[in-house]
Amino acid sequence: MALRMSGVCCTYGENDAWRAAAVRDISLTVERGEIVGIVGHTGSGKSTLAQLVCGLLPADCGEIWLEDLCLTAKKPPKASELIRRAGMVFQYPEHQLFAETVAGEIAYGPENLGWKPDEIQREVRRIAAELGIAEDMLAANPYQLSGGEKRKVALASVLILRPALLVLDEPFVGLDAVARQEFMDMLLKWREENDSTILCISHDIDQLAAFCRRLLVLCRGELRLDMPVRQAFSQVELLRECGVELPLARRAVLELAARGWPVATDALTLAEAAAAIKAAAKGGDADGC
Amino acid sequence: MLMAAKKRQIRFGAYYPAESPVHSLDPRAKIIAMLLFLTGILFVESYAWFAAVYAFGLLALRLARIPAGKAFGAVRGLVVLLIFTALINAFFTRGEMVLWQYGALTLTLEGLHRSALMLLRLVAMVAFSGLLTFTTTPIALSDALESLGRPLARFGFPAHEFAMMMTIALRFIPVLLEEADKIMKAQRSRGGDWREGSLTRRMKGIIAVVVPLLFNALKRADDLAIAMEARGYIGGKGRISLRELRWRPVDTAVLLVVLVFVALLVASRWLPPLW
Amino acid sequence: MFRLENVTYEYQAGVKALADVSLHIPRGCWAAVIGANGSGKSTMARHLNGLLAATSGRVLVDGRDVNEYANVQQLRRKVGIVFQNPDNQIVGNSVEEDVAFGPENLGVPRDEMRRRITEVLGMVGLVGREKADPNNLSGGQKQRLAIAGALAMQPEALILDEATAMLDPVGAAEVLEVLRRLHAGGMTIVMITHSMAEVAEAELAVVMANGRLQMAAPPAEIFRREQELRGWHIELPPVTQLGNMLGMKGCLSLDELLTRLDVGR
Repeated sequence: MALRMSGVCCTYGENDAWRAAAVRDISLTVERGEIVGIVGHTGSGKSTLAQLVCGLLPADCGEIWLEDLCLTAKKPPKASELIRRAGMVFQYPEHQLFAETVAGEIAYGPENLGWKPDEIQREVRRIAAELGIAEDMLAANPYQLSGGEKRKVALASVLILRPALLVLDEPFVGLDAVARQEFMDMLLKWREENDSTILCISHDIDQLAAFCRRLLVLCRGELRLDMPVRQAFSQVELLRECGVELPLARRAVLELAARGWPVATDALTLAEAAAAIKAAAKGGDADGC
Repeated sequence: MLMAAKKRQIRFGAYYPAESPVHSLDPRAKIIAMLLFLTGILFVESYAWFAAVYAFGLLALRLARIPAGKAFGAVRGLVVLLIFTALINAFFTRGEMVLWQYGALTLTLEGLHRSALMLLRLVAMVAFSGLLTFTTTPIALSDALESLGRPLARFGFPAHEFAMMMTIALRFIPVLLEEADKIMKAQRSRGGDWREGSLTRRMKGIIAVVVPLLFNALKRADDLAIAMEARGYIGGKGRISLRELRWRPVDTAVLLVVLVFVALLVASRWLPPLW
Repeated sequence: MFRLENVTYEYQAGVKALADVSLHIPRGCWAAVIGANGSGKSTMARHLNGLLAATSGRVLVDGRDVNEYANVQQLRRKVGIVFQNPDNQIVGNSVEEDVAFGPENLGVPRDEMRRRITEVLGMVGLVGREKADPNNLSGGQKQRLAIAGALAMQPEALILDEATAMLDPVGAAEVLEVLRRLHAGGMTIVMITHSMAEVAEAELAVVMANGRLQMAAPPAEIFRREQELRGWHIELPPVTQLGNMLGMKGCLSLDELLTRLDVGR
């Protein structure tokens, strides 16, 4: 078990001057290796939930366990213990890049955890190789990189700590189709090799449908749906109520079905939808004969 | 609903929103009145006149619909300073009526008297300044300062620029606070925390927050400058502000009353003591 | 409304952000400018209201060379612009004060300002929020406020420089709805965007790559040329991709695709 939450609520504290949507009575369990998507309208509590999981916000009630570590115990967990178990990559790399070089940026986490210098150097090279960050880019100034490259550096600076649970906030925004595919493949490979778990917040429902295996839908601070992604998108009424769109692939097959096509309605990706529609068209011809 | 109610408003200055005749005075009148009061209070030397000052102040607070506790609450932040001032005055004023002595420290009746007057004076000054900031929004204050400073513009006083800076600062402080929160969280998820560890680590922890914050603020400034230019901003020249300061007869009347009162306060120094 | 004639822009000697761009955007047209990062699309847009001046070539706005405008304010009044980050373009501490910022700069009398505030807040659907603090608005509302601020200068054309890039789908949809209304009212719109679904709404799609104008044609036509677009790192809208997989090129909306499928059946 990678994550367990029971009865968690967080109505952000009086001292928090910034808006964070409240969440109420969240209970869920995530097994190691799962890829879980989190969707919901703005203000639904998605990012509050993500920050609770990473120990960046304190819960007001309930329990949160990351493996064998309790985040809601009287004594807050040590940073070093926490970081091994959960790491969060925020939407804007501009919110974290500060070092003079890419290598320095990636080394920040290990330095904080007191790793030895030669170990840090070795690990920086290793994660850079894994994520396809070129050797000469390690010496570059992070601020002079392109948006996609910055995103990669920010990711590397968290992944180098090998967190058991990786939380991603809007990882696809601003990436073109090729970069997005590359990014997803890279994450999947990393997860495979490190036996880790991924939670992914996104508004990009088409990407989530292709990337995640399980979907959580938050609505006004409540967890309204928790299902394997293919079934989740069949809960049309509930999703509409929560302001969550269906992936285009699913919309296409559902609308065709409504127009009387004998089409399978469980498509998640465009390729699946196209295959289902082609099959239905053929089948339709056969009926006609 | 609940969420909206929990949304904490970030307020700057001490503005206390209410509908009152004091709130609706021209902010220029309020600024001038406050300056007059502060001057007048400097001249007061007797308890009777202080009683008059406090009566006036309480009346104004009542008119402004501000709970007196709130106005004098501002004094709380100054308690240490007030006690210190009072002690210095009490023990370092020479006089004949020695009440208590310990080594070099002597407490005299004159000392107590002086220190009481000093306390009354400071508290009154804080309360009257509060009366201005409680009843006037920061924006109105900056408008008033711009307007009052305009005659000085020809001597190079950047009245309009100050007001514009104030407007922009008020607009962007919440934005930057929110951004600082995000940055701190991003660094904390990499173990960056300036609250623990060795001195070098703490230093680095601070740098890791300040650098992105500054960099983003500069980017914002750049964007904002272009956006303002695109909306025809070319400085204060030929500009007409939507917000209009209106000097009404009541402002003149209030200022006259204050002027008479302050004149009495100033004169009180030379009048025979009432008590 | 806009005519670019062989416009070249060098941001430093020898480095061309725009190379020999010629383009005509007629009055009342809704144009979408697309291209990868660094393709020159934002640079081009900033030539349209004088925020950048061409190194060589001519930019005509409403038939007049931008250099012939008596002052830059006249040009800015004609062409409003809305930028990407809603937070970085709102100046006022309340909705109405921000809308008034442009008119204030132009020295518009106060009662006229009041009239315009009511008018443009109606156009973007923010009536009743006059006194609201911009910091408490949603992303979509902030960007609609930014549009209102531009409209308050009574422009004849509106440029949107990736104005929906930072919004969630709901916010982006709100902005698009406002644009549809403005377009119906005859406003010339030049929209720079990464979202191909938005391009489908426009009448003219302008494709930029490497500082050059590569194509300018209706979106349906542009989206038929998948190979070339891919070379410029431009992807097709998802619905067009789905159409291609089913052998129906150039679909712009799901409705269109479904109807064509139905007909083909």
